[in-house]
Amino acid sequence: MRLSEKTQETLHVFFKNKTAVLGLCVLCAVIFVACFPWLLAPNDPLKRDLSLRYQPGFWAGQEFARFPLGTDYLGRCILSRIIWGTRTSLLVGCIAVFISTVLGVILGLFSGYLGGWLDIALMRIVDVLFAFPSILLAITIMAALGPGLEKAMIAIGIVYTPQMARIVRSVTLVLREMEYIEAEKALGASHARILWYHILPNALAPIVVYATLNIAGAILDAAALGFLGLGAMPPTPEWGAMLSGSNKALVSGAWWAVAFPGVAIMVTVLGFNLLGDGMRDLLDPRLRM
Amino acid sequence: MKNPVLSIENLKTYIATYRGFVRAVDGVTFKIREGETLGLVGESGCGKSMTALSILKLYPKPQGRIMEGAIYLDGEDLVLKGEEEMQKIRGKKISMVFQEPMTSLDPVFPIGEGIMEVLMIHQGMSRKAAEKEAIELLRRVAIPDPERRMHQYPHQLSGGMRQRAMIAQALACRPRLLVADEPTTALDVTVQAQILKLINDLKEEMQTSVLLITHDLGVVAESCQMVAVMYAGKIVEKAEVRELFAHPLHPYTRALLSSIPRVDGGKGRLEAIPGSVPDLINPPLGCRFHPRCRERLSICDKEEPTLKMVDKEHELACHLL
Amino acid sequence: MGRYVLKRLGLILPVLLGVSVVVFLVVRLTPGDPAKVMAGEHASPEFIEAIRVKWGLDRPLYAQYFIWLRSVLQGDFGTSIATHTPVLEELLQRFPATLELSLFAMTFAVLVGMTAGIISAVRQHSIFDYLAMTGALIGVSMPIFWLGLMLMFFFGLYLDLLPISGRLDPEISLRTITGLYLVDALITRNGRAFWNALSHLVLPGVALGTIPMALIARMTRSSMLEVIRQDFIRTERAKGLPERRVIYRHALRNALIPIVTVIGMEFGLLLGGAILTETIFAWPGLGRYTVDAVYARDYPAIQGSVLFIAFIFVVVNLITDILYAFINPRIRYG
Repeated sequence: MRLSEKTQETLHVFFKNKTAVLGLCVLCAVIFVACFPWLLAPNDPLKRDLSLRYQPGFWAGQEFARFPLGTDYLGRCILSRIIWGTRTSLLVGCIAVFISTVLGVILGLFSGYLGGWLDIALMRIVDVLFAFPSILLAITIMAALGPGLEKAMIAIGIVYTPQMARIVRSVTLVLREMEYIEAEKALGASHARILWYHILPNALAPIVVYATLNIAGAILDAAALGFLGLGAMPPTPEWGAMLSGSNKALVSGAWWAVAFPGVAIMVTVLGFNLLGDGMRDLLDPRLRM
Repeated sequence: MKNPVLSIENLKTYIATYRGFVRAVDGVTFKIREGETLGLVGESGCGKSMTALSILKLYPKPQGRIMEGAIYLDGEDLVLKGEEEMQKIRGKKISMVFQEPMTSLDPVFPIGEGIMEVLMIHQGMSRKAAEKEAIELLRRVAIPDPERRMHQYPHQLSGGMRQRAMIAQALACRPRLLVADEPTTALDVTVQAQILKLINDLKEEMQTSVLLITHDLGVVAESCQMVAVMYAGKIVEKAEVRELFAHPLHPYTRALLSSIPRVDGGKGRLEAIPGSVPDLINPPLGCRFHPRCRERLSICDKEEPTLKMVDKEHELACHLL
Repeated sequence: MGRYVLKRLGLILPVLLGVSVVVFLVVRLTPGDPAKVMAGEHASPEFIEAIRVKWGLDRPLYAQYFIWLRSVLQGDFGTSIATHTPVLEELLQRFPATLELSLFAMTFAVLVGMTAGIISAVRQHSIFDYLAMTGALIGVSMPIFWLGLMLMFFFGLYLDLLPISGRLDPEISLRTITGLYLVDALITRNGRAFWNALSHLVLPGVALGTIPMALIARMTRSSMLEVIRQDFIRTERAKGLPERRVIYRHALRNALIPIVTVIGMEFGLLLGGAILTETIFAWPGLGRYTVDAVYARDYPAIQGSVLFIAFIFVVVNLITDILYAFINPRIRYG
């Protein structure tokens, strides 16, 4: 497979950037866990055993090795739940950002390219959505939709749409004025063609960077919703939900029920942040539009 | 002969990069006497700005370093001085004005404050005294309505006025030497003449010497007594201004002069100098100009010519004489 | 500058209006009979009818909106289903708690974050720089509620150093004037209450402020680096100013301009984070009220508190914009 010169050069610079590479490695590990949970999980994540509640993990001694990271308030294996929860969190993050990216790109492209009252109206709406702190907006939407993982994806998708719309719009505004667009128009290219073949590819760089960084935020927001009991429904293992009601766990001294799911969230989000940061450094001169 | 105010001897400033040392200033020697303006001329990248920065030790750190040489200000070697001592010299004994007045002035500082700062720190003036003096300085550099203007911000002034403000700032403590790095390049032609005259007048009034850096020979002709031509980090010719224009000896100097359109006639073609500025990490062997030189001899790519006195006050680094 | 302020004021009015529309719609879009939704599941049929009449729920949607909007502007945010008290009253009662927590967190975030950012910028590529920026990156990657829980466990339960719930120990008495306990304690010279309230503020405040702190540190560093590269910094050094002055008086003042904008935006993050932090630390503020309302399906309360919080956020952004205009001479003096 021969890649173009430009792609080769971009990849070369990318791999020199240590943060980006580190992020990529972390993410590969996470994706691996998400794809093959049945291989890695030592126990059944859903199996309860109330006689084994709040057991500590391997640090407490050999006899606790069966549940390496301990058990939760229903006696379920925390490590297995974390492993199985990986795909949930990744899915929610990716789908929510996918929704917001598609919507945001469409809104931003049309708004920036067509201008006029459409632009003004859409940007006012974006301003209004920006007037809410993101978790608050997500909670509000969930209050109307009701709890559930799919609804959480939609809510978070809506929350991240305005930011993407603004970014795509500002890129479109700049690109619209460029001379080669004028040239294309003179050759009789339709608006759709210009948007698809000329503007969108050049806007791809910031879109990819922000989408990656947004996945990090979406996973955090999804976990927050789960923590509040608004996301995944029990008994689905989801990292945020594993932390809800954990005050009791802490009071009983079972810090492992809180620490490890949180570490899982942090590592995954860190991976996306590293990757996103690395990509942003890579594309930085071009991002200064 | 009076003692020189500034005497630079064999100055070498190198800058470390991934590809090697950039020999920005590679053995530069010249003197500036009291009340004299020396013009340092050359194309972009020849090292003239770096020479200026080296005098004040403002080259980029830690990549830049003075490898060799001495810089004597009134007899004291600046190369040996530490940062704290240099801070007492900058703005007080040696001042510098830069090319772009818009970006060279702090945008959130009123211009009066900028001048008062120098007075309060270097001369220990009280705020009130500094304020009065600042107004006077602004008046001296011909900024109208200085009492009002001193509270204004750089973006509220025109390009010429900003440059005047910078000059006022630089001359506030009556330094021995003013280093002016392309002070008029970013200005309109009419304003250029005003600024040059201003520098000249102030120089005489305050007994300051001036190192004027420029790529514009016209500026040199107008304001300088002595001129040094720089190429690729080295000085290739040095002379009194009139002498240089009348009898340019170095091929590079001659090429520079012939690439200026002349008002007094000569419908000859303007000559561009063929080739491009050499790589300062691996400069050409022998004379650095030899790849572009029409009058090249066979010795020119083997041995580097040294600066020799060929006439009264006229020095040349070339194998041709 | 006056024109700038007026312009900004003019811009937020449509935004506030839009916010009210969104809040209104969200609740109205909930499946089910809106009257029942607003009256509560266990309300009597007469009560449901009364609600239907009061909010005009049999009228078209836009009419409903105007009825609701008019009530809101008159200060009637509806009555909480759970407590049967007017929502606005409950919100105003809880507002000082959230305000105090937010201010504490923000102060912590700005002080620590900016200091770290400045030092990182001035000593770029040093060990401090790498450690600080790594720490900041990790800080931005952690879930705020998890941080709160871990802090609570470690300092509160394990080490038993700091209290983990509420604003004040029950046995301490404090006369409240402003609702901000630290301020009230100072005014009434109640030393015991002051330290007690402060100790209660530490864990939730640090938990809440850590993520903004990390963001501010990163932002300060990049802004400072950007400014230090500028030409005028070289001029200031050429004036012989001591390096300290160059950095703090010249570089920092310029770097602050974009940082102020970021700090304003952070406040939104803070308000969102307060929702989670208050829940963990049983802090009696707006955030916890909102969450409790969502659990209890107390729609009037949800509506009221979301509107209130969004309003605060918009106002804070306005203040930030004005502050920005004030410290940026290019805008202040046209």
